[in-house]
Amino acid sequence: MVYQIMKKEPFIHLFCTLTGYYFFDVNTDSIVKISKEVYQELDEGNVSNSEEIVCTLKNSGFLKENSERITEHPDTKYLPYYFETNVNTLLLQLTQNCNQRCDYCVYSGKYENRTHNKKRMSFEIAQKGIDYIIQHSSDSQELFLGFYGGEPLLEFELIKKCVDYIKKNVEGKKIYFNITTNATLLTKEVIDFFYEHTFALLVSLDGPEEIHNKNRGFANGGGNPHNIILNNLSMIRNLYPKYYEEHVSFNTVLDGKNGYKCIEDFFTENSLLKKSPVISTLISDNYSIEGNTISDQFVAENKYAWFLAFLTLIGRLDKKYTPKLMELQKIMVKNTRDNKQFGDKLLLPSCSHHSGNCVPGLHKLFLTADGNFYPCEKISECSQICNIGSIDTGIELERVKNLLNIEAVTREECQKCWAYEYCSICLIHADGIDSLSKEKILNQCDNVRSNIESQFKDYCVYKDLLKKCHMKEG
Amino acid sequence: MKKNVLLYPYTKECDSLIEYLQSSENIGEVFLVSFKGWGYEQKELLFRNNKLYVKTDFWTLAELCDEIWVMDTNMEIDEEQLINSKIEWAISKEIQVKWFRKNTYSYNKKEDAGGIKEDIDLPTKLQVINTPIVIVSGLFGDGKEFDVELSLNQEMKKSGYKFIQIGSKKAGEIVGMYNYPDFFYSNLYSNREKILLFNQYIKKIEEKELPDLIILGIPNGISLYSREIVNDFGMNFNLVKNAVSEDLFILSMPYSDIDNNYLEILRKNIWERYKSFIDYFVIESNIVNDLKSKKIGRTVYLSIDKNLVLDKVKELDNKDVFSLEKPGEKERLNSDIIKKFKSFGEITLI
Repeated sequence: MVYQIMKKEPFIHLFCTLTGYYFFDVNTDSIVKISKEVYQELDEGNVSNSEEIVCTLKNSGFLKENSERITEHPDTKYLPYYFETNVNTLLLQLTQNCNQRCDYCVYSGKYENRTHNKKRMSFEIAQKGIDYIIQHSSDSQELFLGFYGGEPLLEFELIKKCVDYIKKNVEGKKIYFNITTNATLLTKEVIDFFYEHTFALLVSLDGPEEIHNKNRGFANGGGNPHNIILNNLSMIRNLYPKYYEEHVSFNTVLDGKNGYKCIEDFFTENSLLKKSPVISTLISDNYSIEGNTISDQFVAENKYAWFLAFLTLIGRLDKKYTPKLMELQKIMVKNTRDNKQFGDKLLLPSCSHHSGNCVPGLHKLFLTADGNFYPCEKISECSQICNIGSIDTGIELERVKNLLNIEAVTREECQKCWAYEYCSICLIHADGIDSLSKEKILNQCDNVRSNIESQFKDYCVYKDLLKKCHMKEG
Repeated sequence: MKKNVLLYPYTKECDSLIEYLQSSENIGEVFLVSFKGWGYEQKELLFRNNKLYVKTDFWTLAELCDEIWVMDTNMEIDEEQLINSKIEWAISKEIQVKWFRKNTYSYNKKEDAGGIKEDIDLPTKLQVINTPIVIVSGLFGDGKEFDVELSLNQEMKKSGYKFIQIGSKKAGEIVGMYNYPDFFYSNLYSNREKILLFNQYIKKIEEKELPDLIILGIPNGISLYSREIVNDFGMNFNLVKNAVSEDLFILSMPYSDIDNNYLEILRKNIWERYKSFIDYFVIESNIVNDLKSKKIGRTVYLSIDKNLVLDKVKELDNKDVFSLEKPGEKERLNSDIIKKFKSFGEITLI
């Protein structure tokens, strides 16, 4: 009888930490703490000594086996209706030119992507893009218009025209503007304009001078980009301190070859930056021709920074000591089980799709300088498979449907995966340029599962230590 | 004499009313003006076999109409910026203005929605409402339950029975519905007071009008959507249910991939919670826009093709399930209601 309970393997993932033993129950999306004995027996698939506990778990709805599911994203049927009335976010590639030549840039020639060139978006194309979202956003209270490049500030006049155009043609909706910029071309005129229209500014800043300038030189050589940026940031803060505090944030690319601590210290100690939100990412591996290496020093310092962040999370260290670049990760761990409560789910849905990808073009619509639509700016512009239409054809729904259902490529593997509903594999990982690539997707899977397991472990340790020590959360 | 009317702002939520107006003898020309940039410009509708286009030029079209109807929408609007100056202008030109907007999300507003608390004699007990009552409610609210109310209004008028109707939207006034009284939405009144006052309100209308039937459309739905999207928790339904007892309940619900078993479970849950039996289900031609609803914290919908709904209704093959998009279904729903009440009339309680 006991053996029969386990004959059909429960769809779970076992993991352990220094504070306990757990299983993640896939069907109910629950993390359950168990004893070491039960853990070992579940691992072996023979629960002769844990019969009672296993029965209790089964009666409570856990330990159900995996079931065959139809692979289809639940939004597939409704795509035509979503695209008719819910496209409210447009990102315009104003130019493919840039005044810098960053070493790791995806347009540097080291990636399967276009390279820097002088192509510019015409106002006619920008206007058509804006008209497109106006016509297809009747269900949206807000519109989001973003500017990208290359370096979009090379086309400041075009930015002004776009802002003027959308404001003249839309009433009663909140319009949010945003721009990603290297901030070297900011002038008082530009800053005044951004302030007037409450632009959200995302500034690319990689750390202290020697690190930033090493990878982010000017196209013409010479100069000190780092100093220019800090001077410009200072100008914004002096002119509009509240705007600076609320609407300027930073994107830091970590190349992994340098240490981590010096970058962390820079953002923590610099008075211009210490109160600003920072997103940090490693140099992208997606579409990379050469691949990237990470130094041992970087790994060690990164892990130590996370250790400190964890101490602040469990209240052993004052939260003011949270390493700046770890703030987001801290929030992610704390919110791992946000809005999840046992009983909400009993089984994986019979018709479903893994959670990795968004609805291409709906979450964000990227319009290139020559009028092609892509799901986002991170997708290679060489990609045939990820092109979802153009300003002349509109969104091609069959293409979107194909990209929405990337699980079809790796259905067998996905159906067996415990991380199904936490998967972060999206189009970028699946893009084989001419087609969706099963190989590329599967190459990511171990890494994705490892990251999810890591997050679960951190969460469990965090909860266990809070409980044990009755500590105040940091 | 027929009057020309201008609906402002036009949104797709006006469509069912426009369809209703086609058969209205009092209405001449209809002008539709939307806000600029809302995606409705040049949208084409059919009105009495003619094409009707949505425009954005309020000022020119307002000069051509006898009445301006200021319409409600589930989207939040800066009335001060977008509406008030236009209305003031219209009044100065002696164009009639009718206001059909309300504080849609009064349960979210901190300030009072009901004005000053009146010094009234509060009833202390519930009075018996002798007239049969039909209630119509959405599942989560802000869906297409008002379309069902309009449909009942239209069909009941044809059937010749005398009825009174309280609409879930202020626009119901256009077709002769009563509104919910101010105290119902006010933060100044306790739930107890609201229940007693609403019961009294219905009783007074009953005594005045002597109808054969009362139809109540209930705003904001009967249920939360999820723990993250709680809407009104079905508070209004609860208030109405405590004030009156219904004889028939129609639930209007968004489309989803349901089966008859789901409907029975839903019936059972609503019975256990409210002691209300769902007599009829009306499937709407919309779905809950889950992602957007989570983002803004209340249920919002995505309109879908009616054929999806028709297929679902055909698949369910259940006499208690309706799609009002299907020809003949409005009449069938109305006729089923009348049959049911006629059968009640065969029982006499002493």
